[in-house]
Amino acid sequence: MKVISGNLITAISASSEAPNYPASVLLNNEHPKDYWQSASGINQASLSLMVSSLDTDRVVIKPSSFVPGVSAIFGDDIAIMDDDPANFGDPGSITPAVLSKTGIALFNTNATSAVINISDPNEVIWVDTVLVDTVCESYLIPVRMDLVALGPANAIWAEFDSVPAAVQIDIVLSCDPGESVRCGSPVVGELASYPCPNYGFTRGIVSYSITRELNNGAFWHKRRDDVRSIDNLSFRVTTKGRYSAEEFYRMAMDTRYAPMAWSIIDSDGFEYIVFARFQQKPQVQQINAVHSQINFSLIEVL
Amino acid sequence: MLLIELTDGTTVHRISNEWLNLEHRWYPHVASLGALKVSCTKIHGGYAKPVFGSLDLLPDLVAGLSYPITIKLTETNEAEATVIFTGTAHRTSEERDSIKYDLYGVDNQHKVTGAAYSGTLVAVFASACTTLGYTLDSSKARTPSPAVSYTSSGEKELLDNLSEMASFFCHGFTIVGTTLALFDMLGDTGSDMLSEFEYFKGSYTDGKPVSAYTSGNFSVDGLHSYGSAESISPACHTVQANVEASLADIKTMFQRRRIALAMPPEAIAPQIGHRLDFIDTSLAESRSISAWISAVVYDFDNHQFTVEGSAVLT
Repeated sequence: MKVISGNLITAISASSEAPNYPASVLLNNEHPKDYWQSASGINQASLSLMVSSLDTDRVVIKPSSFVPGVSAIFGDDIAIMDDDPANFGDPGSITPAVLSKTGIALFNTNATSAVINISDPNEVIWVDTVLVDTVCESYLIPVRMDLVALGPANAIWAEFDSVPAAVQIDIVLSCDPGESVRCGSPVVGELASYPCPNYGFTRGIVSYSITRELNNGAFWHKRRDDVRSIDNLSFRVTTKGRYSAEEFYRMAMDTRYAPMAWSIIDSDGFEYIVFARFQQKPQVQQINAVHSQINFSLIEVL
Repeated sequence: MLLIELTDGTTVHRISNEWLNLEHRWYPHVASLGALKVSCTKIHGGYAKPVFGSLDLLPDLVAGLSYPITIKLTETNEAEATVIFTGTAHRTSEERDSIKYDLYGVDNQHKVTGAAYSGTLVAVFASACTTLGYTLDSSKARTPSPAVSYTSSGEKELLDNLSEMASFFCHGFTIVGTTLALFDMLGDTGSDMLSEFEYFKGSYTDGKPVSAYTSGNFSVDGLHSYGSAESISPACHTVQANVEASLADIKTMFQRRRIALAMPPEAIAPQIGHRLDFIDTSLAESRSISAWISAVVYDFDNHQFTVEGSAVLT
């Protein structure tokens, strides 16, 4: 299970915009139904997202064997740098960790294919006087598509290795000929990973439709959006292990009612990508001396 | 679909009670919109004046004292929208979960004192519309137009005088924008068919029995020997035959059933003066019903429009 917390997007532009559906509405957008759309009939357009750097606390470098021009890759034995410049370079201040990742998610899109290109337009000088663009080269990232056509769910999810610099993310979206391509609620942020949820969670549908009985006994429906709910989510962590119950709990407090992008992979390998807020805030249950269990539920936002 | 344009300086906020992505984007900032009622002053006609409730907005849009506002309805797109209200939203309270406004329509005001009216009803309305700055649409008024002979007493609003004269002669009128539309309550301004899937449970009631209809010094017999006399005031003509002719028309209106019929908002766009035709098979005996709309209640919070008026069940 993964979640993108926070949103690092600082500016958004698009190669094409419908007059009343500009890309500007996507900035800090918590409503997937408030979407950007390309001009009439333009079925391929690109979104450019300017993304600020992750917190420098999370800057990742190879502590001793850094090779200029060679990118660290996911899973490398790397380090989180101390945020105190006075300690920079001091091996004692470096804590082993895995390379952090950044997640990208788009919701309520009618795109049937997408290509994501990430680059550093500013060539910001990195801490070791190595140009960032030699570390984070422009490259294409495979994009996974969630094709669940339920509510405003059609989503794109992508991940890339975090880099300690602002980057530009260009996403080329294509939809069926004759349509205008659209998407809502882009999210780019630190990707936090947690264990898959335990067996027993339930998926439901919350309908906002209105039903009333007509005079002849039939029913009138005002059809409105359905959203997905995911209840009874739980996962177990070791109290001092890699996944911190406290970190998850703190994230839930920080976000309040703000929705976050979730990729939930169940124990059978099925994946659900939702833009959801906590319906039930997490409860951390101390189940024994070394394990905690986190229980929560989510509901998709419109 | 509810479309509200709220003008803040040069900015037009397009809002609704739901997300609408039409020609423009309409944001769901409307937390609640009290029922809007457009109703003729009397069963037999008069001014169908809009009476509007309150508008509750989510607190993150605007919080100013007053804004020009236009309320429209559409079932398809913005181009097909019908304006049901133009006026002003005036703030009544600012709360943490909503900003509340009352809605005020704008009628053209003109006070008259002891005004004398003569000629046909349409001619009287034409003259008054010139005074008030309205354009008269009399295409649905009765032909020939009934004669008026009436002098109002004291200082009154011209629109009130028009309302009294219209109702005396079984006419109603609406004002939308700058157009005053006069129509015959005994006729219709158009008709709509309702299928059985387009209305909720109906209410068909009868008025109290009326033994006589009186106005001024004249009267006509009611349908019943019991009940009470119905006084129609003021009398807008002085000649017995003219007054009795009007009372006979009013009697026709009183003898019809009263109907209140709620329907889903997308069934039809109900209009004052229109005739509704439908069959109610849910009654013990299936009835064909014609109903003449003299009032419409737009209840957006409960997702229904209710029409009221007179009806004939056969």
